Amino acid sequence: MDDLALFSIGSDRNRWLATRSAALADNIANADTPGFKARDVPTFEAALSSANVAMLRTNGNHLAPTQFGARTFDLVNRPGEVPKHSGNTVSLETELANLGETRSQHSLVSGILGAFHRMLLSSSKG
Amino acid sequence: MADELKAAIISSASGLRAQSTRIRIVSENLANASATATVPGGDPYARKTISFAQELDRANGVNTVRVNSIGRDPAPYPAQHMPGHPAADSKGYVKLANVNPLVELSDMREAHRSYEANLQMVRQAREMIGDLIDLLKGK
Repeated sequence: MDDLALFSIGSDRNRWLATRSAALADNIANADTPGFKARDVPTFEAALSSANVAMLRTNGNHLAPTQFGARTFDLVNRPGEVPKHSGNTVSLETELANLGETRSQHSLVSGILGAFHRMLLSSSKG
Repeated sequence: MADELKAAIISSASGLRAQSTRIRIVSENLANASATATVPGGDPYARKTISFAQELDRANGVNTVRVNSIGRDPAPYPAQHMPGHPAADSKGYVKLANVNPLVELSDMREAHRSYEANLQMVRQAREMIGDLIDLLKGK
């Protein structure tokens, strides 16, 4: 199954979307907190290309890197937001727009994963 | 770290709590807008203020929001000449509460807007969890 990267990339994408939802929820909850800076996750493309580092095994006795280690995504301050008088950089409109985007992408990825799973099942049933 | 979608619901719930406290403060201010002192020359109701602060929920490792402080507005009380009023001082002036209904109403609208945004976030996180459960159901 290793050559079927769709499942792992799909679940990474869903995990990224879930992390983004948590960041957006935090921003929305702190929309009226003085001095709060809006945060977001870096783009999925950037996260994928930077996090693809595995330890090299030069000896058979070395432990293999875990195959199922969940990839995590770090939050960064969102650049380019103009602070309000209170020093807060959250704009509810931006957050809600991002929220809608996250929602539709999550259902797209879940749909693809489900369809792919059905394809695999139908091919194994013969 | 808890599940990220659960984390989203936890921080939105803290936002809902904070905004509903804010609505409570607004309604206290509006209800007491014409509350004067009970003794001659005394101070009337002072408008309450509220501020929020960021907080880390250590049990779940989630960033949340909490009510930082509920204070009193130090703005001066407007005085009105009403001799014969129980709270009038020796010159006949009564101090009125420093509540401006227009400010309170706009604050209420803003709190309502933030409350709705938090509620939408909870709704959406639940839908996303639902999507994942539907995958298990094989839909």
